[in-house]
Amino acid sequence: MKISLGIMLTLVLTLGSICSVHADPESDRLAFVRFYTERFPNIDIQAHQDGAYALDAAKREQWLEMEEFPPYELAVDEGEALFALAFKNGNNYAGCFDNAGVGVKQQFPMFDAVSNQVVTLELAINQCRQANQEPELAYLSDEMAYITAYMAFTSRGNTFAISVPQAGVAAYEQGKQFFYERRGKLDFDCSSCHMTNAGNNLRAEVLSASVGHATHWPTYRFKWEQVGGLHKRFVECNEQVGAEGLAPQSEAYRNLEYFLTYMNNGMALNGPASRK
Amino acid sequence: MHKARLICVVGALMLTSACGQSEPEPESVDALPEATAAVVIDQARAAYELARQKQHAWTLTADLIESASIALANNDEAQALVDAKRALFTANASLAQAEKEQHAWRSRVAQ
Amino acid sequence: MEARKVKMRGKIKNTVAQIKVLMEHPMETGTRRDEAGDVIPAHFIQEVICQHNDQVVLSVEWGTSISKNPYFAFKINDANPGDVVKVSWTDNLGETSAGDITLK
Repeated sequence: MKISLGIMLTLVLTLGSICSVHADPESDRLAFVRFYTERFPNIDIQAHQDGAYALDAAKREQWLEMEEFPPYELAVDEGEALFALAFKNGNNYAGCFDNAGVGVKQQFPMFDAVSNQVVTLELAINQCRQANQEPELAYLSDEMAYITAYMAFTSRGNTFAISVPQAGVAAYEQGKQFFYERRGKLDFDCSSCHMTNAGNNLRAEVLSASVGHATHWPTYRFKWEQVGGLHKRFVECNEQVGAEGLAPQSEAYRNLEYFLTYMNNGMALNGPASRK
Repeated sequence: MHKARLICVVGALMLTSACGQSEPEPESVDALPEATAAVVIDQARAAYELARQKQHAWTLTADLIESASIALANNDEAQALVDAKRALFTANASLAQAEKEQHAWRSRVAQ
Repeated sequence: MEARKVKMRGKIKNTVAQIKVLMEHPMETGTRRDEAGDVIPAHFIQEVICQHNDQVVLSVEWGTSISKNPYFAFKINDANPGDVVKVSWTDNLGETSAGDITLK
């Protein structure tokens, strides 16, 4: 039986595109990290937690000066007070988290097999409120920013060790797709700026590496004049390339955060942070 | 022997056609020379809504639909038609992007 | 209403103290509109007074171009450990607040 080469090739290629081999998350992460150690051989991988300030000495100097008296301090103070406040039923946030909610931010996002979704810290905060008959906080609200800023502050120095159980693989893969999927009029994906052009200038800014993108949230952005979460930045990034932003804490963004944070496994948390 | 070969050929063709399956051909702007602004705005809106469902809508499309609608409300049919056609074009482009990216994203994954 | 926070840091280097201040204040310009379309009234710090051991060393007039939660830094000569530095402000609606530190 002689099958022509052309037909064989067609079969193999079409089969290949339908069921591409899925590398496991850990292999993905090692390749991800390797990209940056090869691109920036003189920069320790942990240093990328400072984003663009790990790549530009002049900007770093100015930023360190600001860090002596960080602009997110007010938010952390507010957050501490809000976190301690009891709900109407007498319970408080501490009852919803491990270790009374102190030093736990590195656990998020996690995959919850029961509700079959990625649970971010913001989602967990609202789940806690809901369980205690309190109204949910808007995801872009000041209150949410303050509480997450405080929780990030108590988690500084802890490292990410996100896991992807079998049930979470689909969500992880969706997040991975989003990261590498071109969007908007400018037809950019996340890697266009943060891998291909990491270290290069985009107008007046230096593009940061994605390894270290999950460690420093929430962030006081001078542009925002306030502390904001990672999903606020996702919306901003999408809109900057001409794509319509999705809703903060929507499934797509939670899955993206899941993938991104997994890629940052082993990195130390350093939030809340200040950024231009 | 011939039967086996025929099965392989048919199988390959079915696979290729399954992979090539796509949305109905997007409306060509040039195929509607007599279309009014109102008609084109509706088409643009439909394509835009489809792109939104796929989470691939462009902000530019929304802006152009709005400016077309405003021009139409001000009885400026010419400007409304220009903006509506641009809106439809960008909406279709965003759909094409969504379609292509379904598979193209894999080529960028760090190896 | 509780007075707005005025956080301060100070470091002496060769008798010159570098003072940094972070003031909590909305600093509304009076040109922004809320969701309903109404103008948000102007509410901004108008005067800042800095004192070194009860002596006024710096007074500043601010306007609407200063951003929300202003960060402000200045230097004081002839500074010694134990000196008290106080920063107080008044805004266009008559609100006031103040903060102070003792230099080490």
